[in-house]
Amino acid sequence: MSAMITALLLLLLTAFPVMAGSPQRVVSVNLCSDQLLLMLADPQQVASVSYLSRDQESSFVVELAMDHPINHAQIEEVISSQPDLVVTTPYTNPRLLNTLEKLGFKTHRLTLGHSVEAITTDIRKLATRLGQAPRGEALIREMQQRLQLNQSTSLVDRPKALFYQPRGYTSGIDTLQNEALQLAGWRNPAAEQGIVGYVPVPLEQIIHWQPDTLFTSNYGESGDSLAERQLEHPALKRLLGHKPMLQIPYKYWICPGPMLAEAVSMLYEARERER
Amino acid sequence: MIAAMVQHRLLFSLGGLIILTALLSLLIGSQAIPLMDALHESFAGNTGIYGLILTELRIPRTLVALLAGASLGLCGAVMQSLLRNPLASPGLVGSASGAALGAVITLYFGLASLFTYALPLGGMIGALLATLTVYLLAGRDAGTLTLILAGVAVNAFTLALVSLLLNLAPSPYAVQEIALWMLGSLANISSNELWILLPGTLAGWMMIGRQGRSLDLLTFGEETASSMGAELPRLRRRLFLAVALAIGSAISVTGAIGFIGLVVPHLLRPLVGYQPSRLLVPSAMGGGLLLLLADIGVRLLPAQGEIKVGVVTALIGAPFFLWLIIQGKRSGL
Repeated sequence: MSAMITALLLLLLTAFPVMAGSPQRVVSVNLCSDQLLLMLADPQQVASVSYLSRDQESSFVVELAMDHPINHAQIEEVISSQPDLVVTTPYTNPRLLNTLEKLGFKTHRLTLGHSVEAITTDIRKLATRLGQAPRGEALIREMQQRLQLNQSTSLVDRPKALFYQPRGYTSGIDTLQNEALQLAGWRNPAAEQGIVGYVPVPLEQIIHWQPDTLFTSNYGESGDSLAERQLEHPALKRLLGHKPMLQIPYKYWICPGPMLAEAVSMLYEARERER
Repeated sequence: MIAAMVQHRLLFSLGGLIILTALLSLLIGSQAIPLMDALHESFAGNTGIYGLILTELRIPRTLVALLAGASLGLCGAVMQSLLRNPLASPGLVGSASGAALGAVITLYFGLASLFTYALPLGGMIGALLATLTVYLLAGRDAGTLTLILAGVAVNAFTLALVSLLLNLAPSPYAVQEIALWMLGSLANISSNELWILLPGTLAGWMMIGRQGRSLDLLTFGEETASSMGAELPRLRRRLFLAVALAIGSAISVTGAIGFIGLVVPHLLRPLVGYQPSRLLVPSAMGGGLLLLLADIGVRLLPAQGEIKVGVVTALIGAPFFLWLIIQGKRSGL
């Protein structure tokens, strides 16, 4: 009898980590979740990642992604890899999400908030879910250290900078660009004026804000288009006194993640040059 | 000469309205600027923001609106007289969409960055080819219906190509510019665009100038006009080319703006005594005025980003077009 109980206990003990333990076939369907997943998980935990994770222009994990099958966020692809966890984002197609849930697949949703705090929370939660909590903490620590190195806490004497993208978009409150500008010691007049998110503003408005510097980032290979020609407007050149606009690659702004620290250091260096 | 006096009065009032509207256009934008300060800064040559907004944004935009609108109005009047068809206009006979297609090909596939005038040149060639296609499809003495059907076919085809090419273009921003090429916009025009627009526009206008008498003769019918000394094939070649030059230049900078070329000559025709030669200059002035007014309207409309100016011209123009059709039905045309 006691032997049987011992055997049962032993069985329970050995079975427990497998049942409630870390997922072993994780699928990610979005570039943002691909990046965090590949940074945090053991390679054998990952069943597939989205095709965008292999795109040089937008992904930070191209090398890592090469070792895994890719998906195109199609329901059949996802199901056929028999995932025990699907990492999703707020932008994941709700139909895909509903179907997955109806079929009983487990999902983990990232918040993808546009602040260091939100990034930290996303990393910590996903790492815990993957059973990789220490790796998550290490990643967070690394990001925080990098941020502190290039952070400006002084609130006086901040020069003004705006993001100005092709088609005339600027970044206001609740954007990664604004978070990075603030951390690197710039003022963002668009955010100060209460502009929220990523919105097009008239050129006259940009000139009126009189920024000391304009940052921009072309998406992908630049071609010729009216949107891109807009950045060549003579008024902008005169406004900046023929200083060039500063390019920060677009991939830093697609997804919230630890790479924000690198973007902040680029903005910080630009500010040091400005002073 | 009562007619001449009426004509003078018309030209003066149009001119006066243009000057007033242009001043208004310099005052209206997303930012309120004190005009005196702005003028002072512009003339002092320092880069104050008001001077910058005035000289680099509002003046080029106002001038481009006037020039492009004038070309549209003028070419509408020319086409209507030449084809002796009240519905002929750059938008309907394919010049506008052809010009947009030509401009799209040169801009998005790298030709426009080779030399400055590649862009308007593409627009001109596109306008000429599309217009000739419509003309050949409809035949020389085409009825209204045939001309419109040919125009609809060619317009649909060229705009489909514009859309297809923008989808295939290497620039990631190209797809979002479809609306701009189909509706037209004057947002963010700079002095660069003004210089691109100017040569072809002036050349086209000069070629049209002094053809008024031949157009007058055409109102009697082609045979009578030839017997009275109009060289029709030469006239046709010259005017088709002139329209292509002016419209190609305008559209390659602004996108295909509709209805101005149709509406303006119609509005003014009763005022000039139905005489084509007297219609040309007022149509140019009226076209410039109408486009500038539409653009001011765009700037006043509250919207995130800007509404395309072609939306406003179509909002005014489409009801007018319907009215034309109803009138035509009544008079049994």
